[in-house]
Amino acid sequence: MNNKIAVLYRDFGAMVLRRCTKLLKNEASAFDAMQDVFVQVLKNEKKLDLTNPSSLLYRIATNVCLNKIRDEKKYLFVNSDDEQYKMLVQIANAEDLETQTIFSGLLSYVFNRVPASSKTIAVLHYVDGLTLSQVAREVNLSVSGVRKRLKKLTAQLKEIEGK
Amino acid sequence: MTKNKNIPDLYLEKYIQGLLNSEDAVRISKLVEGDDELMRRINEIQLSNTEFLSNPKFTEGLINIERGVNAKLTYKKSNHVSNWRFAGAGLAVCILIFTFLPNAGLLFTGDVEIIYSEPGSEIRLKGILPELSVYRKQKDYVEKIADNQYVSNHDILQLRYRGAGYQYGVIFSIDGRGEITLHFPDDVNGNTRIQPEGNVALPYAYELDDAPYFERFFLLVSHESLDVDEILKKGKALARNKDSITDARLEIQDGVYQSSVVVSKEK
Repeated sequence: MNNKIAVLYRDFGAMVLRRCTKLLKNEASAFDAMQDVFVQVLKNEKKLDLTNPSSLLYRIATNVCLNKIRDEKKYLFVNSDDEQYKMLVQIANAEDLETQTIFSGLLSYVFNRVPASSKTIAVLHYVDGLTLSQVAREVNLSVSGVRKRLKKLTAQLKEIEGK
Repeated sequence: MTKNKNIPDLYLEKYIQGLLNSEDAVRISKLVEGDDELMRRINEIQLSNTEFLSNPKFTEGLINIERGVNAKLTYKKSNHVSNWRFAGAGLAVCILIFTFLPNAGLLFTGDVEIIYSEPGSEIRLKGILPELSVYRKQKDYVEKIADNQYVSNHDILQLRYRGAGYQYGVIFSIDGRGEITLHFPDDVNGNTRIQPEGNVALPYAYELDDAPYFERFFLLVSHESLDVDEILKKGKALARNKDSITDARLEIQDGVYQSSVVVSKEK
């Protein structure tokens, strides 16, 4: 492993682990997810813009956790009274058609130079409580761009909720 | 970001790492004063940072990350230990040594940061360490200058510091001719009080002159008022030693934390 990534791990590993623990509600899964985040960074180091590492790692961590929630079906059956957590599971299982249309590779849209997935944007806004302008800054989109992405995903979430 | 409970975790993370813009950092600093809940959240993150680095899982994670890349996440536990696992473990041990050697002065000069533990003090982590950053004005944006990055004569630079809880500071530079320039405070008799929280830009930009080779910027911070004249004398003493002028530390009293950034001059 190169020194740059090792230093990133040393400096931001705890933050990524906290992020994953918050989203996955399980320490062992969170530890695995944290490692997955840095594996992705290491594999894609040359493509990544690491000038704003905390935002980038936070987004990658969010994306990794959403994928885990979607793929590991156990999360669907979690009986939680936590409304934010229910929202998170819904977002994870929503179809992010717009992002999939724009970017074919699953990994490609977590990188800094391309917009974040609509799901990540939704988590930042609905679960983490960032304002639209804060989300826009984090994902390098305009506020109207963020609003547009959220609108489409929210409509789908409402459909899911209505079923 | 007006209600304390509504400050997202990401912003607190950035605040602790010193990565927020100065406006947000100042706002959070003000909110922290007298807000027990916000202080509790900050303390929790800082404690978690310390625990992460001291947990055996820190090393395990590092090795697993290396393994994940090399084995495409298909590696299964076995008694066989391949060479790359030794390499990963070696690197992990190196980082642990760099990070945890107590009371050892200069511990690690990496690509990114200098970790320094003052004698008798607790181990401090990057991100909550004081730091000096150099920014260069480009035509329509501002670029952060990395340590040893090349700059040109007449480039316009701005200095920013992160006090990381220290209340007093001095910023000066030594150029390739050995000349000293004081950047903060304004003069040797000035007040050395700094803003302890957030990233703070000095109010004046600085134009590089035609001094050759390099310019080395120093930040010294302390919990007690600093004697600027004495510090500049130490700087002049360092400047006389051409062999170590770009990397040696100032011979300064205990309790003063120092860091520096070198910008190299294009020929």
